[in-house]
Amino acid sequence: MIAATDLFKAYGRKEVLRGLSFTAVAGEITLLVGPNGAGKSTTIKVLAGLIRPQNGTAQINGLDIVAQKIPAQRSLAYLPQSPSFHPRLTCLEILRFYAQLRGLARSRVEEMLDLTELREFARVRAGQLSGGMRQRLGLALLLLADAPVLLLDEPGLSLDPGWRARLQKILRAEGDRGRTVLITTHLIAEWNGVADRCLLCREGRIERELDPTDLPHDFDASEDSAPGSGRRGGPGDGDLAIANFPTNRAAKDKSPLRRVAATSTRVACAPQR
Amino acid sequence: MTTLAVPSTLAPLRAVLLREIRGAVSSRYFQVFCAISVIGGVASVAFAGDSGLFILQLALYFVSLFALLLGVNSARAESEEWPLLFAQPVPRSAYLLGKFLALSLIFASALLLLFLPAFVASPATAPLLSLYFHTFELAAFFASVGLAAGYFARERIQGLILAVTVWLFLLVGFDLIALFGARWSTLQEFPDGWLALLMLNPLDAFRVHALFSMEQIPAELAGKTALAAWWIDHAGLWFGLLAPAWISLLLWNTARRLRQWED
Repeated sequence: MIAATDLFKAYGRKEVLRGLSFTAVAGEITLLVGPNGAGKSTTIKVLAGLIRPQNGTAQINGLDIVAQKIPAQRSLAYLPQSPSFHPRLTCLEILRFYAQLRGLARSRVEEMLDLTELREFARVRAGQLSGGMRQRLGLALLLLADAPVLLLDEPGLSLDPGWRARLQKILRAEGDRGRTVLITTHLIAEWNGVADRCLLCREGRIERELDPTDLPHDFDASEDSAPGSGRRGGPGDGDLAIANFPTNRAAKDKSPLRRVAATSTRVACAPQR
Repeated sequence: MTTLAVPSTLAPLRAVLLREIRGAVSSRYFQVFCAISVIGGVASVAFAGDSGLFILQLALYFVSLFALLLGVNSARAESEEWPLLFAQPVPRSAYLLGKFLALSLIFASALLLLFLPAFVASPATAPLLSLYFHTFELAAFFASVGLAAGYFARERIQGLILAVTVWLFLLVGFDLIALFGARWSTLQEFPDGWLALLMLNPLDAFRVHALFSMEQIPAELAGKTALAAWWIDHAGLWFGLLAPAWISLLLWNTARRLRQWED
């Protein structure tokens, strides 16, 4: 479980987080969506223990990420936006290194190589990997820890549509295994129907909760959208579209059927980005 | 849900150590260092009259510079990976300590390439052993300077410029300042103050120890002040203590810097 309470973070005069609060519970995929600069990545970095908030608290499975940082970090796994690795080390060496850091068995490394289909690239140096391969290696590292809380910052940006669908399927399965999954993204349409909750973040606060089964296709140009267009889901009008959404979670449905449908929807939606 | 494995205290340190050794062995700096060490080691026996003095020159300029470069290289090698690394349940200081220990081990091994021919050829191994040990300490000191510069700088190039500036300052700048200061009448009244400044520079401490132990230079300075006499008599001990003190200070400050990144 994740509990963020009244988080405040400023860099100089620029206030990035301004009293941000939310909870994400085990067994659910929670989306943190919002336009660029809304504070999504800063929030996830605070939760991962990379940044200390100036005010407020963040708890990972009941452990304060500032006061009990190392125990809290044992309960989480984090995938940054663009994962990078030591360029001279191979995929296998990198996976083994992270397994050793957490005191995990080598068999976990083998499992992750199979899960992310990286076995044939196991001896390839990270510096020679494509962006998509690096994302897959990042995914392998995320799942390697078998942590109860998974934090993903804009995942899948470099993945092809097939692997993006696969990523969502894997994360859905992790959610169903009881993991708390928190994903930040501004490409919300891709997660339509996959997530259990969707929180709209704006100007360092959680503005409100959105219907996770009916998300707009484009959020990027939301700040510039002309008010009152009334159209939903078209490019450039994401924010207006969000404004029209209900803020309840009544549509939450964990049936397997919904998941299959959601996966197909996302593959269909992907080229529209 | 699977029970979470709690790593032992030393597991992360061991992981960083092994990773650093793997990374360093494939680094060009290290490969060039090994090649020059082999050539220098053979040359010290084949062409130089006094192999110890020849190695001393190599240690002063070449070992110190390469230790510095490997330190910066190591600190910046995975700078883009830091978000992923620092989200692991491992104190940030463990990465720094692991890197330092790995670099120390690497230099302890690679310096053998430089010293081995002299060890084989020279009948007087005690001064050479002492020089090996102190050259290793010097390399460890400059590796920690390189690590500090690499972590304090925002980019690799800044780290390299900072590190090389420190190296030049310790190599020549410090002595020039001391020489200039020696002309100042107030300082002339307190020669121990001037001497203490020199003693604090690890390169000077190394140079004085090595020169006096290898060459048996008549210590004219020794009779001038009590501190000078003590230094000449205990030059090896002094350098043996000074280098670890500087290394600890540098690593402690760098670890603080890593913690401050959270703010």
